[in-house]
Amino acid sequence: MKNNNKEKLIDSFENIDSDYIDSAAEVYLGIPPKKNNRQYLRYIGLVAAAAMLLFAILFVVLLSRRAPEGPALTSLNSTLINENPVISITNNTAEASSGAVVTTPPTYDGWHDGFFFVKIGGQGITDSTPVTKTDPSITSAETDDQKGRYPAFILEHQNRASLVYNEKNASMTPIDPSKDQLNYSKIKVDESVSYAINSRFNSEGLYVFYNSNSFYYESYDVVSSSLLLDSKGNVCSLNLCMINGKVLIDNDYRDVSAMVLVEVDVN
Amino acid sequence: MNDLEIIRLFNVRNEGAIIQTKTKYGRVILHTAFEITMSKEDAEECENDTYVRLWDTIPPENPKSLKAYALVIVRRLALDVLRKRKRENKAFEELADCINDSIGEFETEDLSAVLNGFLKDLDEDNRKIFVARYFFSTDISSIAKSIGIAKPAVNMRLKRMREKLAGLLREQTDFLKGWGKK
Repeated sequence: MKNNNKEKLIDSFENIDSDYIDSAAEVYLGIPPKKNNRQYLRYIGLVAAAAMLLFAILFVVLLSRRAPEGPALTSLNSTLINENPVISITNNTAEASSGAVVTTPPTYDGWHDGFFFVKIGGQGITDSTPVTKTDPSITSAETDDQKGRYPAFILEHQNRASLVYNEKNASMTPIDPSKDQLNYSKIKVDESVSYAINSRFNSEGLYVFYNSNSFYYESYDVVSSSLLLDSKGNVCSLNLCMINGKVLIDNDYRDVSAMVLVEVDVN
Repeated sequence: MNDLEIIRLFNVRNEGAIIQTKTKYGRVILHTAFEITMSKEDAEECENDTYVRLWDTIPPENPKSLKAYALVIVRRLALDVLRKRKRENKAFEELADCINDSIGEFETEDLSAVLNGFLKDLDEDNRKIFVARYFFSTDISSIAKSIGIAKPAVNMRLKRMREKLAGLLREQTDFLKGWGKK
């Protein structure tokens, strides 16, 4: 009886208004109301315009992006005692300011990775005497240039940091990579290096960092260098300076004519 | 081709009418049959029988909506299959909530009239939901997706509408009983 009544109710749906059936069929089919082509074209146009605008903004932002001035060595958990370049190279001369000083004469250490290294002391940076191109320590290093290359001097602090730059006759002479045959391939720069803050210790134990412009320009004049000391006054790192020379970056040689290289041995 | 032209083809006994109907409404006819019978073979048989039934009934019938008319036919055929196979359909089972013992006193047409009145009073969304569920046997998920609400919300709405219909049917049967006593 109850079942018959249910069937009767089910059957009674056959006579409901056809408009109700038609409109419910839309739901039944699950098809959303169709948008006409013009609407679609309008949407496509709007989306395309928005995408182009976004792309243009991104392009402009990327183009206008510049590397920050000066060092940004904040990732080493150290104290940057001199935010301005401690060692500057201008007009083929080099000098260090108060952050990079030595008290003891340098000792010869030979060539490493294409650079002539001379140890200066090991007593730490305690004196305020600046290292300049006229420093006697540099002269003594000159005589030990065994491979006929331009000598360099090294700033070393407790066997942890070394600074090398090339010079001749007490003045900065641009390096000609083709003649000097510096083994730039040994300078393995982490591909992620783009600025000081991104610098890395490479597989050779060299801590290399440089101005981010080196990624974008084949050559430039003087890139400021800097010295970073930790809270105990130990040298953590020194900036790499490049002047229209060549250096290997991302497996690609970049022109640099003179450079100051830093070696940091972190224990 | 619009419905009027297709109906005209039926009226002049042009078999193109069936082709056009199949082209235009074949999918929804088959889908309706499948939702009720839950059998591909049965649904295809119902679809084909629907075209035959359309051919046999137009003329003299001149439906206002060819689609609705075809869907009523296929629903009838699918229900016949369902009953013949003694299978149950969950959606239709839910309608048991609405019935009372006195419904047997109603003619189907009377019930349809009550249903039409009931549907007329519903808002459009609820009407679509109700018809989708109890005419087409559409599953709750599909209704929820099409309407853009959650499944529990669809279930809740259906429950309330069934209760409302049950109340309406009770009122009508009470009225009939009272009228019969007089």
